[in-house]
Amino acid sequence: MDLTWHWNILRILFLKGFIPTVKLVPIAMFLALLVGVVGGSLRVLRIPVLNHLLGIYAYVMRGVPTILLMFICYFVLPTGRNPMNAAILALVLSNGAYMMEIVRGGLEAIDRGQHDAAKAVAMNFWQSIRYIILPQAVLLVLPALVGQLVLLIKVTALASVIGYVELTKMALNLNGSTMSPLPIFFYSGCFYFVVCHSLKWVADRCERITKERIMGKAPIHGLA
Amino acid sequence: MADVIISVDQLVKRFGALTVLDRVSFELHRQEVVVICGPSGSGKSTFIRCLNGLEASDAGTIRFNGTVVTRKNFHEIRKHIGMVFQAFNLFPHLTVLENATISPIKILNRPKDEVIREVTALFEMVGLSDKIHFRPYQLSGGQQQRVAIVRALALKPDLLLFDEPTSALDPEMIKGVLDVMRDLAKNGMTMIVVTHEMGFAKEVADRIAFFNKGNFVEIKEPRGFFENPENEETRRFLGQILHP
Repeated sequence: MDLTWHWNILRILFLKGFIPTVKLVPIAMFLALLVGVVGGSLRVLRIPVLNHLLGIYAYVMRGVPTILLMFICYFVLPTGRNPMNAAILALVLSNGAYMMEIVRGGLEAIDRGQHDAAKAVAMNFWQSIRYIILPQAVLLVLPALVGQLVLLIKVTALASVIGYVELTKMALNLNGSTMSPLPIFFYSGCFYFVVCHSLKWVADRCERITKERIMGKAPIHGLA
Repeated sequence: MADVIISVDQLVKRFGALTVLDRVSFELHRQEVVVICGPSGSGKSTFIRCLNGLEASDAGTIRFNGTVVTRKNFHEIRKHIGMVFQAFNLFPHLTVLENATISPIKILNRPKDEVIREVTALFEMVGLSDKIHFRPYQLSGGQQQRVAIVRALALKPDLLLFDEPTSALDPEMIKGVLDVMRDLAKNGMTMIVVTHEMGFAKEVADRIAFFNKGNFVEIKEPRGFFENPENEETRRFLGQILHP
């Protein structure tokens, strides 16, 4: 087990595991955020039937394990038995529900006076959401949204159950052929770790800068 | 006699079992300044909030520039009625300049340069030209309220509504805001001001109204209002606020 061996393991994990994982993430993230923002905004409107349907959607997604959702998306829903499509759909459905509730919480937390002022300058509902309420709500719930995104990244590992070979599955395969679990799983963990914490770091910096500059809120923690 | 800009006929507003506006009728003429005073809970804030549709009335008619105001045309009407709130309600994520320009540019679709030029001139008029790129949190209460006034003026409204504009301000800041309002009145702006600032009312108002228990009790020109209140309730209220 010399350096070349380690380097090969890392290379394989990166090309055949990390890259496929990363392929899932941006699309799933973007669509889940879209579901979250649109769904959250619609829920705030409290339209009778629609609100109940969205509520049921959130309720169901909270009660169903993502792995089961993967199977449902692959075997039951019309995704053409394509592992990547099915995986993305499952991730979007599951994370979208959580993001919808996070965004809804943020929107409802915005002071009523902001709605009044937006109306007073002749904005209709969607204009006030877009220009006034949503920007403030997103700033408010940024930590929760980022937390959900980090969960999304980690949960991509479940795509392996429907035949999508990503980082965790690749690690398992390599372990099968080399019987060296420690370095293999350690390296896999490192990849996830780096991605998740990089995202968290970027989000923390953005949040800090925007909150300080825009709303004059000093950070609660003294962490530099 | 200037023509009527807004008229209210038998306006009713209930919150559950409580009747907050009890068949209120009222007329305002162009370039007129009316000050409304009254005890807390009398419904005076609810009344002016009904005028621009922030509260939906349960019965009665509001006519603005001859058009009946309904749930469907509130957005249009609000392009011609500005409002200044007790809590300022500035948009914290926008700069002072953006607070005032966002609606004319994005909602009224007016050319950006023209709007910025006009709004900058307005900020100069209220003494805030050096603050236009600041954020609301960096301003004092009085400054924030002046920004709120400019924000309302930026839409070039026909009517300005003020809901206790100085009630949340420290005493030393009140004068700054009242000065701006006085200038607006002098320049012919049509205004309805809910306030307890009786000095301002005496000097600036064309009529002063006492509002209590869901309706107007008395509306008179200032001299008559202060020296000869006809109603016992008005007299009692004036006694309380003028000689605390």
